[in-house]
Amino acid sequence: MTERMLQHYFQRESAEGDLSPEQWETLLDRVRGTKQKRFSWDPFTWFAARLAATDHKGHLQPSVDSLSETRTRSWSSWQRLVPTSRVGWAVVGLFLIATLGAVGYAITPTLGEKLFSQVMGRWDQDYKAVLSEEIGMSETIEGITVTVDRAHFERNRIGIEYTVTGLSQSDPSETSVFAVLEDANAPGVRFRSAGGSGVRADSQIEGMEVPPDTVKEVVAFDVTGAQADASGMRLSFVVSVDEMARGGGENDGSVPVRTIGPFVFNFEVPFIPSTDITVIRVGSTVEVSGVPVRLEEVTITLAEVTALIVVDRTPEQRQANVRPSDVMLNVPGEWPADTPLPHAYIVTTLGDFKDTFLARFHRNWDIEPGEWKLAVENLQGSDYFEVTGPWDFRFLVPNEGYVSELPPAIPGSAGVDPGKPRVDGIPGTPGAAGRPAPRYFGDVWQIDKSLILPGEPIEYSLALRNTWDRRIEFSDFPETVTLIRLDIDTGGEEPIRVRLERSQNATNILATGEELTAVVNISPAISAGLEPGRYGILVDNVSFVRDRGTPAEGETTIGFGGPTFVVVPPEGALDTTVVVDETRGAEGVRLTLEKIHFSPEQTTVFVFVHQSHTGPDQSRPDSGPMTAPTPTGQPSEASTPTPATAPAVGRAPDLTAGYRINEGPWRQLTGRSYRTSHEGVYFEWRLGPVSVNAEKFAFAVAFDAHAGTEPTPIWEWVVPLQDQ
Amino acid sequence: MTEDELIRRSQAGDWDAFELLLERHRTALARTAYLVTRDGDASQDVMQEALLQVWRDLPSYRPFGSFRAWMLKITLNKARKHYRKRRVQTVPLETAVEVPGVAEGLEEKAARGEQTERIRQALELLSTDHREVLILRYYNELTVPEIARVLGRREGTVKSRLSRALGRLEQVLSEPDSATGRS
Repeated sequence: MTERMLQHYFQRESAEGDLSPEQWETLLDRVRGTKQKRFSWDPFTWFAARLAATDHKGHLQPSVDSLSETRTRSWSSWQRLVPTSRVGWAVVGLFLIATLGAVGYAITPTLGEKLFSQVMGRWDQDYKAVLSEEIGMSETIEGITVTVDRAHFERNRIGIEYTVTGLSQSDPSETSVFAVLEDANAPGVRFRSAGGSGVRADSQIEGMEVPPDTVKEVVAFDVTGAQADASGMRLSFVVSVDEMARGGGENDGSVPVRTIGPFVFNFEVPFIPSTDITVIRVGSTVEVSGVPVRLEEVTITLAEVTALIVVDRTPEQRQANVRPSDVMLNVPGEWPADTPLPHAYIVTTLGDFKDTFLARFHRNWDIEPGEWKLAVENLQGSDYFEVTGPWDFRFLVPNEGYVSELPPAIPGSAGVDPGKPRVDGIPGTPGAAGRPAPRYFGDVWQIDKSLILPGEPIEYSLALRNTWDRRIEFSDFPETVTLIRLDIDTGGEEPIRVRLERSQNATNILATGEELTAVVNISPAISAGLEPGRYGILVDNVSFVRDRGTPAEGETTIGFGGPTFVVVPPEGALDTTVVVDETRGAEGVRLTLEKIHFSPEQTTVFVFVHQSHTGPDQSRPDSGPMTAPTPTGQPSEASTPTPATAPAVGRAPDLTAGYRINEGPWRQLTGRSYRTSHEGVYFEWRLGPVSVNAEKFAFAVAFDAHAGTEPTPIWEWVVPLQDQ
Repeated sequence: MTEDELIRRSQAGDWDAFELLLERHRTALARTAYLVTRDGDASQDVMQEALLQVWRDLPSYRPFGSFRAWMLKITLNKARKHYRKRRVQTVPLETAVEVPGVAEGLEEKAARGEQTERIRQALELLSTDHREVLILRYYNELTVPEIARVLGRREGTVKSRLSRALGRLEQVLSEPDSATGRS
């Protein structure tokens, strides 16, 4: 009795201890403001630590302006032997290959190299691909020596390998070490952290031991936007060491008593970062479990891919600080089987945009154009609040000129862009409703009609407005745009290109707030060749020079989607709803085709995926492969169904759907939407309008194909249409 | 993201992961701090100190037992410090319920209900150790082994402490004038 009373009492009374969102934020701010005095030395990557260090406590870091002592790199006689031409590098390379090749198998990675592989990626593929430069500078202050060992360059990242010795030997936790990298040509410009890894004596990692008074670390920075000239970049690497309070009790190591340093190292590196920044405005929304999530835009640099994600949170969800948790990228091209897909290493709120989040992916893969997928796997908040997704987004990274090649690391080689970009914030000026404004352009389209008959000419006008706070000078304005079939996968078909004509008085330069107009013209000849279906216009290669004539000069290419329209069958489209309500089962998973809604604008297929497993009578496949369907409800000998798993509660399975009309070819659908419930998942697939002359409509659903396999359809329906 | 992953990222210095981790336990920690201190301002101070300690000690944390229990241990340690400070400044326990600010007015009493008030005042008469073990068991719903880890005591000690705390509470509640502690 007393126990139950106590439970009730505690539940009731403890609520008085609840913190309001403001109190919680204030509390976190206070903790955040003093947290910087700890440092992790476990060899995990700790990408966010450096970001947090820059974002939240920049004022606590030593800055170049406040330095009382600086050191400048002096080259050793050995270092003066470093070749200065490509021929020289080639000779050295051949010499090294010949000399080291025979004994290469016996060489084990150094500690620095191991740390490097933790930070920059896989050892075998990445470490050897980068340029590595001996720095060899050191400085001693009050018995503590900091040595900058090497700098590694890869894509737009620079990894600095450094060692600190002379630290307290009694307890490694009594010291904290911080490092920042600044642009020596632009005092105050501090590069964004892009990961780090380190060890100290108490790390207890086999094969990564250091003496008791030593820490060793590799820290990486994204130097996109760094100023560079033909000889490379001038950097300022700043390290400070904090000593904590000693003694027994709970405050061990928690209170900084003094800061030693800063140790400042100025040096040049022969590396010119790429100037390319690609911005793809996606602007699509997916709703799962009643929570809409919007992918605003994706930005690609050589160092990383960032995605702006907006979650339309309810006040309750905002109070619970609900935010994207796991965010994955699925990119086209061959992806090594043993390599996980890019996973956002940090998802953070974006400044004043309370509902906007920035997911950042280290880019250590070559980008291929095509359809990319981004999945917000789940949303999480306080006290185990969790909404399971995924919220799937698909967007196109268009073709030519969009994707940068890796810049050669040696200055002067072909392909190096000698531009000098600046560091750009993300995003630009504030937009409406707490969302970020377009970073460079705002695009407004005028659309007269969206239902088109084949052979009908189409004309859409575009107003492109400079929403940036700087001048924009076009270096390449496309003369054509791409016409994309949106509702089906057209496979490897060549995209259709149509003319984009700029207005006659359009100039190449847009000041802030100015706009230019252009017109998309789809001729009757092109229009006549369009199959009924849904189409979209993609403006895919607008390039412009930023900050012409200044040290920050650089070039950016952006693309954005335009209006969509529907080509309708000339003989007329079905305009009715057919209730099907037939269930198919296979491998324990049941799907019900509930209904099909035909209209002149589009056809929508409603499918419900049941949550629970079915009995043995429904465990057989009901249909054959998509390319050779069998009559409804009949098992196909050709079918080799993939073992299927019933979807977890609230989670949408990866399904692919296709359809065919009469005996025509099967078409694979591209888009889908869904909403989840405890009973299962409601899917909707949309396709173009269907002709009034159609006699039957076949629809098939399969689990997404795994790498190297074809989709295996295990559910299929054939719906007669003669009576509709 | 799993809690293990959040812990791992937090250990590696990922502040955002740390925030997510804290938010999972935010209510439990805040309420526990309040139940122990019985003071809104003090419980916030306790939380702040505890969270800072959690952040700093996180690299040395190893996943033996639940993470929540580990954070509760730190929170209780911080709360004890506050409690000790408060006790130094207050009057002896026997008359504590009469100290302004601790005893409540009639209206509040009425609002809370007589039984609630009786339990609250009865808990005030228990020792800190007894009150803590009751909070951990009946609010945080920790098991005896978990409580043992939080308090740094053997399981047998926890069991006997629980038993005595409950016995003492029942005794106080059964006494006619228990609310004033003047039995």
